[in-house]
Amino acid sequence: MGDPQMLRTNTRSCSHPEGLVRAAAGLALALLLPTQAHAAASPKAAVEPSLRQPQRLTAGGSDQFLGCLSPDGGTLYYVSNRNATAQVFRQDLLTGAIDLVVDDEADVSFPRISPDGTSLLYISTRDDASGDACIRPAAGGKRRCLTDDKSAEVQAFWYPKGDEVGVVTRKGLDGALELRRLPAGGGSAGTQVHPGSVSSPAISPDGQWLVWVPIERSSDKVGVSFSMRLGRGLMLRKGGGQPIQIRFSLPGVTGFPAFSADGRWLYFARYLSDTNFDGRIDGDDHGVIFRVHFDTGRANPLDGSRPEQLTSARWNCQYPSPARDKLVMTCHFHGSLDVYSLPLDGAVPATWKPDKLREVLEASSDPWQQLMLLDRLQSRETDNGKRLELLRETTRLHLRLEELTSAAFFAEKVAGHPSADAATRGWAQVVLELIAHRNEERRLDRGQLNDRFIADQQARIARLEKLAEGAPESTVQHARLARAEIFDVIGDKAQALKLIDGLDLKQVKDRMVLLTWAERALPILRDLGERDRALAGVTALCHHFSLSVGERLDWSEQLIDLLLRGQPQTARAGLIAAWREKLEVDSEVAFRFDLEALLLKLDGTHDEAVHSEVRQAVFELYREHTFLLERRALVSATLRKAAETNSARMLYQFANSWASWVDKGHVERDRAVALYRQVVLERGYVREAEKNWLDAHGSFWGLTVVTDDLEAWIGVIDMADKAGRKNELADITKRYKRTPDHPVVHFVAAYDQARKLASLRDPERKKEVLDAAQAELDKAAPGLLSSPAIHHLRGYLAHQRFLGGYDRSAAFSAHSHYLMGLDLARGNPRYEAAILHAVGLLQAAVGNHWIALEYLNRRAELPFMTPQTRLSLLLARARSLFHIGREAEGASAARDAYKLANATPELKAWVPLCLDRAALYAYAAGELKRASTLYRLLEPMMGTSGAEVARSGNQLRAAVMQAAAELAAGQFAEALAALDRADRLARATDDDALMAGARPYQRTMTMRVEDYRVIMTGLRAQALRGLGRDKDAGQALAARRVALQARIESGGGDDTLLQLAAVERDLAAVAAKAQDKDEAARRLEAGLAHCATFQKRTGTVAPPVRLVLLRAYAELHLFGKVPLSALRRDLVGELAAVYAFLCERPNPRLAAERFVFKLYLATLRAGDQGQ
Amino acid sequence: MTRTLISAACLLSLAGLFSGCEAVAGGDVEPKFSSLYTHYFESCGNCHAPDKRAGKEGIEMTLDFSTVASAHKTLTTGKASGMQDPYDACNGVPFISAGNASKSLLMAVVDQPTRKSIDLGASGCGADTITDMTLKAGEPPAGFVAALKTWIDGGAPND
Repeated sequence: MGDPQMLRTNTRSCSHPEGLVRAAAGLALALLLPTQAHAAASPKAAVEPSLRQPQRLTAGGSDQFLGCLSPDGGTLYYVSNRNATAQVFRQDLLTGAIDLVVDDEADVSFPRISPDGTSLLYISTRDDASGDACIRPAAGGKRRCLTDDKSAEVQAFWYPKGDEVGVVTRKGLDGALELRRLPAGGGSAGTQVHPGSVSSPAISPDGQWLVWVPIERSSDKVGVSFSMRLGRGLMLRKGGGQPIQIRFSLPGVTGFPAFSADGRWLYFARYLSDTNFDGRIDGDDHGVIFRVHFDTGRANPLDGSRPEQLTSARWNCQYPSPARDKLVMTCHFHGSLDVYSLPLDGAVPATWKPDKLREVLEASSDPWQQLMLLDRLQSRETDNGKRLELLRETTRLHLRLEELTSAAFFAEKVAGHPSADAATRGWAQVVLELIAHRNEERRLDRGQLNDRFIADQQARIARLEKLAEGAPESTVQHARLARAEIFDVIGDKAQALKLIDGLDLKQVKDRMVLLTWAERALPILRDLGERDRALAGVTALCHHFSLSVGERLDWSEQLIDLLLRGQPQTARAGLIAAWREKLEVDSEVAFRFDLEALLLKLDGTHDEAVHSEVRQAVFELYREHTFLLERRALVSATLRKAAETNSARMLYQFANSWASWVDKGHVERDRAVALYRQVVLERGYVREAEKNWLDAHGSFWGLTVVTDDLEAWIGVIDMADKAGRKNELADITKRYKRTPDHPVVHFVAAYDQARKLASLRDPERKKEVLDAAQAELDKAAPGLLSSPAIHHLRGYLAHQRFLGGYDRSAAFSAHSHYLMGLDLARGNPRYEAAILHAVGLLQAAVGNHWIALEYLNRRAELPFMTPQTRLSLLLARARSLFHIGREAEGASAARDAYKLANATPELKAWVPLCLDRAALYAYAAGELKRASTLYRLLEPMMGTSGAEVARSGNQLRAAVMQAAAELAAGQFAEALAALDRADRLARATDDDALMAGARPYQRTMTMRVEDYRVIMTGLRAQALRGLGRDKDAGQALAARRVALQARIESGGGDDTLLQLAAVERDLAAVAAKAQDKDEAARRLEAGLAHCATFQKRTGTVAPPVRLVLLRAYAELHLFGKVPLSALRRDLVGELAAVYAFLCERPNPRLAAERFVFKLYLATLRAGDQGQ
Repeated sequence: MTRTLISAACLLSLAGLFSGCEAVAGGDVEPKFSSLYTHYFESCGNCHAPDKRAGKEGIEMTLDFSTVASAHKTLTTGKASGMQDPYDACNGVPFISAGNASKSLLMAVVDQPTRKSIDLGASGCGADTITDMTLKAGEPPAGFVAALKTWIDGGAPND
């Protein structure tokens, strides 16, 4: 009986309509509702289809970093610590194939491919822990190092001609990091290029310009490694000329400069803020990639150039490596460190004009992306006043993100801006006071207030009061909010509340002050439980003319949330109606409340008439409001409610209408289309769950017409199969008649082949299909590498190759591909579920049950679409729990599987397997009665199977286990009955049949018929003894002895000796019971002889059976009165030797034996002396 | 939960007009029906054909893109049918108003400016109830929309 999961090959085996529709709703919100609140609550949920996203090039459970491309752009070299030490890997970007290129059996770093692509330069720590610069052929081969252990190399790069390399090196731990130029052929210490403390040097493609990051030492006495600090800017030098110091108008510090392939741009990483709150800005903070135009026609090529931000700080990118057509970088994104790429002009297309940038900015919900867009807008904006407002917004966002260094940097710029009036300067001064306050608060020891801090803040409050005297009204208002924040922090809540109360939001004209109220005062009101004040304030924001329509709509959403939060469902409609009365007619917030009043009618009802009525009413509202932002708000709220209430028709209708209406070219269009496609995909899954195969097929097919989404293609194939559409592949081939080599065609073929694997039994045929599927997949992969489906399928094929015994190492490959698929599937619960499940099964198959359990547990947290998948997971978890010694939990999980199978008609075939597992694990957990009961439940099910099933060994195994369980529970007669049945079953099968039932990788672990017989004789003897039939027991034991001796003669393992010793032990017990002391002595001696042989072969002195034998042997003399002369073994000598061993290696579990042996030995020795 | 999904499924059948269209051929699009058919409309037969409607919920039921002839005939003589609320507002509307592309439903489903400005009288069939078929069929090739407009304005001949 196999594992039911293996019956499923497709990626869609793990989903659940309810959970997935809800997942779609989550996406809908991210796409459609860029509210401040939403962004703050879930910044990573935002999808920004108009902005370029970094494309992941590497993946896996380990770190992948320091990537660089080969000159032809086809191969990526990078460092990975997947095998614990850092090694260099090579990845073909077309096929995704990965090779290990450098394994120095020690950490390596900074791989750099030579200009001609033939050699790889890197830093190795194999022969010199402080680093050597070494070179290997890129295609693999012997390494040679250019330096030795007399110097420490930390970085290296190629000079453009490829005949020389530059290395950052130092002599000794406290030496300065100097830059030297060495011949690539080696044999020379080279020449010094720059003597100062240098880091991350790079050379321009024409070889003229050298750039590096200056390192500042904090002490001359301490090595630069321990006291170094990145400099503020860069150093630039042409040839042997004087270095030019470059300072960018950016906060933070600079690292890792790199020239573009054409030499026209200089890329670098910038650490803008102290994002890890360790009190300093350095390489441990979030990195952002910038580039600046490099004009070699100028004395200073960077003169007049403004750096452009290319990546979001949220992505945390470093090590830029610009290639011919893309920027390669290392980012710490979504929890993993990997190599990514972006177009050379970064996430924001260089061609975007200010209008487009503003449009995208308005739609963005991610503050880090907003900062990136603001940066780009500032470089495009020519109007000084508008630039000043952009600077203010940049300052505000940094402050909101608690990036205080950056906020202060930009606030200073605002204060000093030539267009700044008194109100703007006042705003900046208040911000600077707030930043200083927050910095001081951050430095508090574990947040504990102290007198000095309080005094300082009171002084600050006084300064703010003075600042407000005679200042413009907006400064007075802003200072009031800042004072409220400070009072709140120092614990004077009453003053904070008084200051907030004193601010009439309707009188505020400066948007920035309004947003400060929202970001600082509103949380204070919430914390103080001031719901009415909060509601009043938010209502004011919803009507405020200084905010944009989009912002007013966002606050309307917030108002509803605030109003309804924690309120019972029955009260909600009334609350909305009552508050609606307070709102201005024709305001955005009134519109939003009208919508909410309709949507609330859907709560708690499945009445189709109500759903239809609400849908139509909402559509009327939609038709009445033709302003884009209002429609966006309506569609967003409606889709969220539709998902919550499973109103699939509403979901589809509004996604379709919205996408059809939004102007092409508008940033919202991309979001709307993405949402529409997601909804159609969900509709396919819902139809599938309903077994409406044709409609499901239609939904999936519809998506494949407009996208190459492999998930939809998989849906097409699976649903076509279920719907009985025979010519689906032919139809697909026909559809691609003009592009027969399209990657989709090959993927579909590979997937179709792979689906057959689970039902194939003939190993040769299975291998043929595996090879065919692999061949198709290899053709598909180059065009579809960013799809998790490719990697999932690759992992699945490798997994099957491993299970089929065709390639043991395929398990490693399967694991790698699964993990890559998992990385790419982030946010797609179906893929995540399927891949987590697959990794769990793979790890269990190779025996890594701890790791397997980790993945299976993660899988268990996601929903299930089919009971088969749930059953498979329960059984897999049960098995892994059993194997790691958590038998009781395993038994419980197996019982859950049994209950599920028993209650589900389509799972009836799996009931015996579940019972078998539940019984086995219960037995292992010591739950003997339960095990016995479960085996008795299983027995009649096994008995109904035919001869072929009997030959498979499953029945035999179950009967033997039942006997063991009955025996352990003291039910000897039942045990004998089970053994009689096992005897019959053993006669009905043979070794070939047992082997045929096992997977190839399991065969060395599979028991043969004779193995069962040996076990059965032992069990039978115990059962007979339990029944008092000692004579029969003796015969059974004798038979077992014969079988074990035969096994030894045929080369059986050493442990057979111990089993023989145990047989002799039991025979001795039978003889002793019969008062045949002589026979008992002979049997004990025979057992001890086996133990002695075992010790000779294995060095093991005190296996448990020897302790029992020895103790019995001693007692035979001490209490049985058998004289020592009648014993043929040296009792005292053997007892002394084992006792000495127990004393040398004390084991608490053997304390009793140690005590008894000591006692017996003393008695024996005393007796000896007495004699 | 299951009951909810099933009931919702029964209601959900509003894919709108032409689903499953697909751009197929290269080369310049001419303002002739044969060229329009080859460059875009042919693949609409993936769904809009008598034997392909199964599994396409709420699909428009009059059109038949199986052949050039059936496509021309149903487009020029037929009226939309089979669509459900709220898109049913367009049921009964002719696909083509020969000589007037700006009042033709066919034009509106592939061209957003036409869809946004179309005025079909009191039927309620307009910008909010006409589905953008490029969502389902992909963008038509360059020049297609202009050629379609020219062809309809020229009387939508079977050429």
